[in-house]
Amino acid sequence: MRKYLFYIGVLCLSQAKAQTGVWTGVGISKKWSKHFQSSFGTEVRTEIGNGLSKVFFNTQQVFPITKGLDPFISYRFSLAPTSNSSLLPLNESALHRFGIGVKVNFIDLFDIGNGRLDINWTIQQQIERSAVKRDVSMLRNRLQIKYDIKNTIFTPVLSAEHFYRWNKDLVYTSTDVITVPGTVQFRYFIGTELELKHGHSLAFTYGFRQKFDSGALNGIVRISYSKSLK
Amino acid sequence: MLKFSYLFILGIVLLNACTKIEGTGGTSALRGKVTGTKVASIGQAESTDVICTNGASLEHGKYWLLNSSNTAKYYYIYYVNPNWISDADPHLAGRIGIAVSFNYSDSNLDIAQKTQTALAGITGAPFTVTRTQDILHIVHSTFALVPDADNGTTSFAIDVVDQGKPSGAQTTAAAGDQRVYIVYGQNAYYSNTVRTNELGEFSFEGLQNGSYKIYVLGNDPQHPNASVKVEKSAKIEAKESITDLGEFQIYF
Repeated sequence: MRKYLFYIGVLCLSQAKAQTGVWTGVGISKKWSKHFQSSFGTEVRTEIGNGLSKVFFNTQQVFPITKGLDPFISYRFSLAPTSNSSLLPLNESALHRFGIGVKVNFIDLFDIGNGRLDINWTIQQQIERSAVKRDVSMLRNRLQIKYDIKNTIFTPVLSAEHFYRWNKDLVYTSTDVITVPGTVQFRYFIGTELELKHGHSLAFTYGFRQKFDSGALNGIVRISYSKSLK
Repeated sequence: MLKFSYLFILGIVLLNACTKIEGTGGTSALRGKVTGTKVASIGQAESTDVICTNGASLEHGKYWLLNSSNTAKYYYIYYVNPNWISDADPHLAGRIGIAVSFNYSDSNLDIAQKTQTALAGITGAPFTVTRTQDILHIVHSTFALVPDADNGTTSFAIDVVDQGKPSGAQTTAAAGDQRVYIVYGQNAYYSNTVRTNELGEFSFEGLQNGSYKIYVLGNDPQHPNASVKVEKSAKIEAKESITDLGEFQIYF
């Protein structure tokens, strides 16, 4: 299995170039009860050649209704350098993002399979607010497939996500302002999670996002660590 | 756990109240139109100096010509020696004759003074006459083109000091490609600019709710090298709104 990990690493590095993002994160999660669990995390996002693009803290509160159906709310506080100046006050470079959604795990919901395959769909509505930028109202849909390989620490993961912005464009006519919604990007990831002992886990994924209008592709290397508290 | 949930929701509500500040990142627009007035060129009155000779240099019947912007008021000034019995008037058609009586013994100052008196006696004269020694200063009362005076048959020296010209017409038109400035909130200096289109129209778009000042710089007609700011204040109170500031009038 090590050779697969090696191949993934080589793939990531071979695709690393300018405009490639490197996302590194740390998280912690706690299951308080059958119907409530929390997670907290932080992530630093950089772009090769461009430096820091964003750093944020996020939290998600999940309220499982039944097995395989997990509604959640989330909040993310981000700081990002502005295009005008990196010395702007905090209130001009901070972004607040609020989300509400549901994660549907089809395997669990319909109680099928042997427990190793995980096919889930996450739909969430997000509102992002900042002092100096236009509000972003985004609908995200992600389909994710995982498979826990027997007798190994590897869980390969594959995902595709669609971003639909309700207020994508503004059209200023002679008398009115018209809000035009539309797709803004797609995002794809492939990689593996490594389940370590004592609730520790690592994830190495490589992906890319495609801007819908321009068609521009940006590679993303994502490395994250998380700890699950009991 | 319930308390934690309440705190989490409360935190979200509080954070959601993060204040928007004036500037970009909104959905509203401020619009207006700039019109410019071309400063009229100031006209000039015709000014003529006439240097008179003495009486010995004149002859009975000699004359010089003085014009105005009104073709009905073209003059000839002729000199009459009372000792001569012949008619001194040359009877120039289309002109008004002004007679000046003189003697051969008159000095150049006398001739100038007598000529000034005769010109001052013209009813509704389109000019004023002043004198400095033997020089008559004739200044027309209107800004207009005036055919130059001529010394005719005299030996007077006639000099056009200022050529008359009419005032330029004042015209107003849309000010295209004019820079328009916007000041966000209480900022001391402008924050952004746009240019007007060919119709003089401008639009600042993507603005948040709040107070703004819009201004345009035009010329100062009283001080050619100075600029005059024409400014208006505006307040955007609703998202996705268009506020019309009306017309900004400047001088080109």
